[in-house]
Formats: sequence, structure tokens, C-alpha cells
Amino acid sequence: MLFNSIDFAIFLPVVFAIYWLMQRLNLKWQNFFLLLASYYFYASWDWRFLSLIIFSTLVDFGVGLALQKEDQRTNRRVLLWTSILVNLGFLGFFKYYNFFLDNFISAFTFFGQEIKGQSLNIILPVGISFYTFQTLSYTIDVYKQKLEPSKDLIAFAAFVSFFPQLVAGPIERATNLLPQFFKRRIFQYDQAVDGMRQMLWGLFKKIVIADNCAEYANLIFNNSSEYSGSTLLLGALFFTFQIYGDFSGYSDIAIGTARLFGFKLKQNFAFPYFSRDIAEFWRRWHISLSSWFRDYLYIPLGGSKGNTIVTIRNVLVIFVVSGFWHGANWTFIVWGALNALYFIPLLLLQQNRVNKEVVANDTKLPNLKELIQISCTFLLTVLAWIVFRAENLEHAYSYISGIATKSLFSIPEFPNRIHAASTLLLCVFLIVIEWIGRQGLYGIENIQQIKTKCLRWLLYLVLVFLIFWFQGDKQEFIYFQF
Amino acid sequence: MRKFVLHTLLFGFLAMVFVELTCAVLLYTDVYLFNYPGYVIHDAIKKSKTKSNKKILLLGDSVGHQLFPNKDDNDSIYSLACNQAISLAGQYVLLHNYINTGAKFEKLVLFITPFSFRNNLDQMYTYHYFLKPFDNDENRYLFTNSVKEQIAKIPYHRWHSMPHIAATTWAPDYISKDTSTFTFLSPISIEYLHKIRELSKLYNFSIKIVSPPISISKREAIDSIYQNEIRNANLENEFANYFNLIAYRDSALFSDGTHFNTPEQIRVRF
Repeated sequence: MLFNSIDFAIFLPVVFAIYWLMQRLNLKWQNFFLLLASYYFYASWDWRFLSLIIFSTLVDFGVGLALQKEDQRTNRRVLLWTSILVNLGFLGFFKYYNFFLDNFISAFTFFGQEIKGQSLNIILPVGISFYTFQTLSYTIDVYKQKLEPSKDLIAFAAFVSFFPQLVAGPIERATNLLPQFFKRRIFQYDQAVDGMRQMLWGLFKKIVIADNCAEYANLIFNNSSEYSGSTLLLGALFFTFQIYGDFSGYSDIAIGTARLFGFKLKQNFAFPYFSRDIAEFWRRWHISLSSWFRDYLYIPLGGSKGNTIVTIRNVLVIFVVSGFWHGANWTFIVWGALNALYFIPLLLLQQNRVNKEVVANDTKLPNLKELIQISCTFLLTVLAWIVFRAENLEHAYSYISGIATKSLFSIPEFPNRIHAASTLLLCVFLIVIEWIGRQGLYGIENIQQIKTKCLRWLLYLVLVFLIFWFQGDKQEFIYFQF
Repeated sequence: MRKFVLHTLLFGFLAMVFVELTCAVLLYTDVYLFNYPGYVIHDAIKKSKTKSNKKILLLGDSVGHQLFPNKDDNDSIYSLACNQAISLAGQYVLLHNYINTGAKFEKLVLFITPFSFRNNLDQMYTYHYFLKPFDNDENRYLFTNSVKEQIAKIPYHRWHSMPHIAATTWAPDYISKDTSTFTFLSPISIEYLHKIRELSKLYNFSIKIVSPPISISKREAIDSIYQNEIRNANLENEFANYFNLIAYRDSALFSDGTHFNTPEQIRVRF
């Protein structure tokens, strides 16, 4: 069930109405209903994989309780590793089995040894990378005694499978989300309206920006050998906006939906394309994943506390693992390594925490230095997205080589130029709106400051109209495949 | 809560009215066409209602449209080629429109790839490319029962003329679950080829069915077509030499296995 589907448009109000009616009963019933709704939401993709979530939930719930009772360090470690192995075992099997098998066979063949292996026709359970990391954070936090384990299985299961963010994040920490399941939720008008507003903006980003850009990005990437350098560059730009619109749009809809139910999820995107350096970009892009790797991988590895070589190693590890998290393909690994290469010079020069504040905080426009910094960071990001989007490394290389030719200065070719130009104009519209709203949590949060209700509603209506008129060919959310 | 529900309902109502009205304006002024993937079909319909004195009328699919765009002017060929998704039923409507202008032509060329004859109005593009442009009071009397039955299977088929659907790219996710019993000619294609034959006798023009050049990579798929379907459908005359005359070209010339990278470099004669 996609957020931008008629099914969800029916599902959401029904669940919303019943959920708030159940407030009169008690919290447990409300959580139980949320759990059923979440399982139904997930089963609408493939009911068979519900068993995976339920199994993972039971294991982590059990491990959490056992960790509380256990004092011995060795036993506690065994329990922690049980949870890690079960969760990563599922993830490894469903997501990486064929990748490792193929690469082992290739490696042996390279050294003259023929080995045989049977590739499996494995379907990747939607959202497995997201809920696996969410449950892992619970077990690790309980192990580190940062969090009391849950004694309420229903609330815990509802936390693991909470439908707004189940299939594509944000990856919530148990320390933030789980306690909210134990507090009585009270309906608040302002919070619900804010949720609706964020959902509207998310739908705009997904349906108008991402789906329209996808049409051209797919066309150009799938036939890249046919196009001129200028068209290839535009194709990369289209993909840059597609992935942002798609993923941040999903996050906005997820956060907005959660607010309708009285939950507060963490911000997942903070206007990353206005970043002045790559370090800032990674503090603003997929924040829930970056901070997960920082807290559960980078810091345990020693972070930046060791010598320079150890720090560089740690940075490389988290970027490469982060790349690999996105999928079983060398392109993702190289994409991660490329970002590490962008990041390491900043780290060595101790410039990685320079740009913490919102850009041009006190002014309407950036100054020349900021503009150059934003443009350079953006171009580096576009280059990395080419590797991310390419079918394989050879394709990425040929795509980038195709851009770096004389034809870069030719007029781009498109089957429907007017539509392509209007799609680009919509991207400019997105940039302008997000620039104006960059101090908020999402692009149009500040609309609420407009005092005249009619004007406010007119702006919402224009967005609704744009969503209807400019809807692109419906595409699955990119991050579902991760 | 009550305030929120009331405001949401009010906003929803206003949004519906606002979107319907603005889309109606877009439809009325044809502004919607710049963002409309089916504009090629719209152009073909418009052109089919204009008389000409060209000797050859050409109907075709998207490859046909690549090689003979319906926007271009040609000395002897009047092209209404647009897209396979309109099916032979849509092609028939175009032909019917053109005949109704009083135009006299000597030859009708159906410039269509073999795979396009499989269209039985059961594709994901049917809603967008057939229902929206063709399913209206002006054309409905030309639809056979098979067409009506196929249309009835498509979700939201009655809603396609509502402004917010007609003016936008929205279409339901529809993929037919019917198992096809044919490899080449769908029942709708057979019916309408017969109807085209009737018109040819009535208005005295010849019919030639020709395939655009095809990628060599498709040869195996074409060889596996069960050509007895032509005989069973009593269409041997129309398809005489159709398969024998297919020109197979290097697959490097095609962008997606079907469409040409640079159609302007391809030459075809009838």
C-alpha cells in the first residue's frame, strides 16, 4: 500500500477514526489496534513476510527481558549477539546472499578455481533494512542500559511495526519512539493540522517532483550511450531531484501521518541540498541512518578519538557500510567510498563541523562564498548520485565519461522538451520554497505564520492542484528496495 | 477533534471544487496538452477530422509515428499514426473520422508492428490512450460489444471524462488478468480489421498492412507467432506477405528494442 495510492487514502481515515474513538477505552487497546493496522498495512505488500517481523519482534522482546534479568557480562553478550545475528542474519540472507555468492564465485574463477553455487530467487521483504535497524537499536540500548526493556509485548510490537515509518523510515530509536507508546496520546488540533501540512508537502515532493523527474532520469540512464553530455548531465540532475523528492517526500508523509496519531518522529531530512560541505550534507541527509551508524558503528569503533589512521579507517567503514546498506551492488559501495573521500579531507583539516547552523541564517539570500560552497557540494553530490543510480560500475564510468565530452555544451535532447522544461521549473519551485522554509522542519512549515486563513488555504489548494495536474507516472518509492 | 474533522472535510470539499474547476478550464483551453503524454493521439484525432487530397492514408503505432509523424506534412501520405495503445478500435475511429470529412484516398496503409495487433484493450495504457480520447458520445456507436466488455473490466472506467482525470496523467493501475489465447491477433483486432475491410469496399480504397522495420533481436519472437491465426480469422488477403516483407535491422539502431534512436535516418517506401 503506497502512501500515494487510493488504498491508503481510504485506509488512513478509517484507521484514524477508529484509533481516536478507542482513546476512550484504554492505551493497551489503542496500541493493539495500531498494531493490527500496521500488520494489515505491511501484509498488503506481502503477507508472508509478516512472519519475519513477528519473529524479529519476539526475539528482541525476549532478549530485552532476558538482558534485564542477566547480570553476567558474558551471558549479556551472548544475548546481544543472538539478537544481532538473528536480525542481521535475515537481512544478510534476503538482501546479500546472491551478491556474496556471485562475488565468491567470481573471485575463485579469477584465481583459476571453478566452484559452483546456486543463486536463489529471493524476494527482498519490503522495509527489512529499516525495521531491522530499528529493533537492533532497541537491543543495543537495553544492553548498554540506556533504556529499560519493554514489558508490554503489544506496545513493543506496535513500536517495531508502526506503519507510518515501517517500510522506509525514518529509522526511529527506541529511546525516542518506544516511550511514546506508553503515554496516553491526546488529540491536538495544531499537531494534527501540522501533520496534514507535512503530508501535503511530502506528497508534492513525491508525486510532482520525484515521479516526473523519474521519467527522464530512467529514460536517460537506461539509454545513456545514446545521449549527449549535456543530456546526461541533465539526467543526473533529474535523478538528484528524484531521489530527494522520493525519499524526503516519504519521510514527510511518514512524519505527518505519525503526528495525526499523536506521535512525534525525528526529522529525517534538513534541506541537504543547501549544504556548504559534505559533512554538513551528511548531517542533513537521511539523518536517522547517518546518526544510527554514528552511534552504533562509528563511536564503538573509536570514532575520531584514535590516531589519524584509525579515524580515517572508521570514516571509511561507516561510509562503505552505509553504501552497502542501500543494496547488494558494488555501485552502492563505491558511492559510499566516494562520499568518504569527499569527507576525509574535511576531517583531516578539522573543517567537518564548521557549518552547523542553517545557511544564511540572518539573511534572505546566501552570500557569494556560501553560494559557491553550496554549488560545489551540490555538484559533488550529483557526481556521487550517478554512481548510485548506475546499473554497475562500468555503466557509471561510461556515464561520467559521456558527460565529460564536447557534447556537454550542446543543446540537450528530450522526447518532450516542454514537459522536461516544466519538470525542471518545478524543481526550481521546490528549491525556492525549501529555501524560504529552510529554518523550519520541512519546506512549508512556516505557512502557518501567514495570518490570513484564506491566503493560507489558497496556497494549500494550489499545492493540491499541482499534485493533481503534474502527477508523474506512478513509481514505487526508491527506498522500498533498500 | 470535531474542529479538525470539520476543517478537513471543508478543505477536502474546497479542494475538489478547486481542482475540478481549474482542470475544466485546462481542458476547455487545451492547455492541459503540454503536460499530457497522450497528446500524439489528440493530434491524430484532430487531424483525422481535416480533409486532404493525399492518395495514401497511413494509420500506425508509435514506431509508425516515429517514421511518419502525424504533425509532419508529406506530399503523398496523410499520416494519422500515433500509438498501439489505441488498438485497432481506435485506428478504426480515426479512419471513420477521416472518411466522414469526404476525403478520397486510394490506399490505406496500416503501418503496424506485429506485436501491436495483440492489443485487446487490456493494457495498462488503455485507460489513458483509449478511454480518455475515444470513449465519448461521438464515437461510442462505433464500438463493438467486445470493446464495451473490455472497457467495463477497467476500474474507474466511468470516471475518465471527469476534468481532474481527463486533464491529468492519472490512470488506474490496471493489468488484465485474462489469459490470452492468441499470439498475434486479438479478438478486437480481428473484428476491426473486418470492419476496415467493409469500409474499403464501401469507399473503394485498397488496404496494405506493413510492418515498420524491426530489431533483429525480435526475430525469434516473431518467428514463434502462430500465423494460422490469420487464416482462422479469414484475413489472408490483408496480411499477404506481411511477415515475408519485414525488414530486420541491427539492434543498435533501436533505443528500447522497438523504437528507433534516430528515426529520421530510416527510409520506408510503400
